[in-house]
Amino acid sequence: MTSARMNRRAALGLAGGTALALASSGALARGVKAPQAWDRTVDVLVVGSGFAGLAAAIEARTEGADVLCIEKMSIVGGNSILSGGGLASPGNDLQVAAGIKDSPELLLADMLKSGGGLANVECAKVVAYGALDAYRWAKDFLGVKFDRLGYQGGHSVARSACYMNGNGANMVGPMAKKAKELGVALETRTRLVNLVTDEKGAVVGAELVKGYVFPKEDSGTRMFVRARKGVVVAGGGFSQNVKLRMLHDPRLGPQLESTNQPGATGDAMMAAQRIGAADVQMDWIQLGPWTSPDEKGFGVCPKFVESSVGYGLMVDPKTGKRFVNETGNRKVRSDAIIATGHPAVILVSEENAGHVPPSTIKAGMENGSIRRFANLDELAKFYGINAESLKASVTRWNEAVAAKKDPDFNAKIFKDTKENKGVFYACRLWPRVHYCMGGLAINPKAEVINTDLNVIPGLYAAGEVAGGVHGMVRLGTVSIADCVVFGRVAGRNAAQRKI
Amino acid sequence: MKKTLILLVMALAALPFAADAKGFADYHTETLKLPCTTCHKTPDTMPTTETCTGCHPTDKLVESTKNVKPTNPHTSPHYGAKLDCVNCHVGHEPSENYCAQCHSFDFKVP
Repeated sequence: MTSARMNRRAALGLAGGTALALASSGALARGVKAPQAWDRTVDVLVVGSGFAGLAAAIEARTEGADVLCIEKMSIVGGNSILSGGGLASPGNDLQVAAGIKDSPELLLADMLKSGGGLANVECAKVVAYGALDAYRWAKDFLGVKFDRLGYQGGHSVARSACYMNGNGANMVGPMAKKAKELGVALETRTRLVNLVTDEKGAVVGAELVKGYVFPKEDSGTRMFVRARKGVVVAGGGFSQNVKLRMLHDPRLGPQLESTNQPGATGDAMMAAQRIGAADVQMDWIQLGPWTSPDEKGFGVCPKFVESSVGYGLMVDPKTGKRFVNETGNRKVRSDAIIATGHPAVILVSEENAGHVPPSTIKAGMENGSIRRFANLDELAKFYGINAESLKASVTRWNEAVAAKKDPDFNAKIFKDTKENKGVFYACRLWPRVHYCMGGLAINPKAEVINTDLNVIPGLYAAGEVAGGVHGMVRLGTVSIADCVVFGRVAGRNAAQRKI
Repeated sequence: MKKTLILLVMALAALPFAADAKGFADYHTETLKLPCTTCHKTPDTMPTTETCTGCHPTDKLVESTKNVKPTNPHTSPHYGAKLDCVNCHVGHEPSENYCAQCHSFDFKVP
C-alpha cells in the first residue's frame, strides 16, 4: 500500500513538474528586464522577514554587504513570530544537562526516515550538521533565550531547544533588533512583484511595491531595486493560497483552513518560478492533524493532543472505534482523519492528562474546544458516539496499555501510561493546512536551480519557500533549524558572490 | 492640545459602537466632525500609523483597553503593541478583527 501510494505520488509530482517546466521555459518566461534607471541600489535584497529572511539579512550584513530586507505585511515575522516551538539542535547544552546523547547523524537519519526517502540528502545534511551552530548563533550572538528541552514526534530523542515560553516572538524580536543594530534596512509593507534578470538570465534586482496594503493588489507604488550581488527569497510557504495548494493536492480545498498567517500565499516563490526557477515536491503539503474545528487557527488543541497521544485514544465518532496510530507522523494521522470525512475525537482520562500543560486545558475549556466529562456515557452523548462501541474501544485500548503493546495500530505506549477510566478530557480534531514541504529547487549553497537544471546566478532561497529539504514529511522544530541554517547559508553566499 | 487628546482618547474608549458601523472614517467625519485632513494631510496622502498615534498615543490606548476580555487587544505576546492600526481599524471599510484569524477572541472592533 505504501509503495503503491508513493509511486502514485511520485507520478503526480513528475507530471506536475513537467507541466510547470513547459510553462516556465525560456520562450514563455515572464522575467522583467532592467529599467532605464534604478530607484535604489543595494548589494543584497532579502525578501521576507521570518526566521530565514532575518537570518539571511544578518549574515549578509555581517559579511559586509549593504542589505535591504523587505516584508509585504505590516509587521515583521511572518509565520515565525507565531510559531510555538523551538530549534532542533543535536548536542545542545540543554541535552547535555539532561544527559541525552545525540548527534547530527542521528538527526539526519530521523529526517531522512520521516521524509520517506524523498528528502534531498545533501540539503538535509546542511541542516543536520548546521543545526547546533545555528542554536549557538541564536543563543550567543543574537541573545535568544531558550528555556526548555522538548520532544517532538518522529525524533529519536528530545532535542528541540524551545525559545522562551514557546513564543516565536522571543526569537524574531532579537533577530530584528540585531538586524537593525547592524544596519540592515528592514522595510515593511514592501512587496516583491517581479524579479529582474539580465540578458544571461542572472538575477540583478527586483520590481517592488512600496506602501503595499495586503491583500489589495493595486495598493502602493512600483519601484525598481538593483541588487548588485544577489536576491534571497525567503517568503515562506503557500498554505493560505487555496488555488495553489489545490493545484498540487486537489483535496486541500477551502473546506480546510490553515494555521498560517494570512500572507502565506507563495508570492515570492511564484515570482521566482516566472523567471524559470524549478520547483520540487509541490504536492507534499503537510496538514496539522492536531487542530480542532472548534477553535480558530493553530489554537490550543495541538498542545493537548501531542501530550495525550500514547496515553489516550482517538476514535471515529461514527463508529466509536480507533482508526489510526495516534503516535504516527502528521501525514498518517491527517490522511486518516480526512478519509473519514468528519472530525475525529481524541479522549484521555484525567489521570493520564498530567502531561498536558494546565494552562492549555484551562484555555481549551474556556474557548470550548476541550471538554471535561464525568464519565464515558456523558462523553459519548455529547459527541454523538455509540456508548457501547466507545466503551469497547476504551477497554481494548486499556488492555493494550496493560500489555504495553498495541496489536491494532502499533501505537507507542509510554512507560507511565495508565488505564483510562473515570473523568475524561476530549476534543474534536479536523486537520488544517500547516506546512509546504515543496518549493523552489535549491542546492546545498541555497542557490536556486532553473528548469534546465542550472544555477540561476544571483538567486538564493531559504526556509519554507525552498523544497526538497524535508521530503514528504517535515519533523517538528526541524523547520526552524532549516530556516536559520539555510537563511545564513543564503545570506553568506549572496554577500560573497563574485560578479 | 494635550488635554484635548486625552479627552478624545477617553471618549473613544468609553463610547459603545454599533456592530454595523460603516467604517472608522465615518465615525471620525460624521460623529466627531473632524475634517478629512485630520488623517489625510493632503488629498493624495494615505495615513500612516503615526497619523493615528498622533491623536491616540499607543501607551494610552493599551492602558485604556487593559480590562477588555479575554485579553488586551492593543498588545500581544506576538507583536507587543507594534501592530499597525489598519490591521483592524480600516478607514473607509468595515473594521476587522485581526486576532480572529487564529483566536476565538470576540472583540467588538469599533
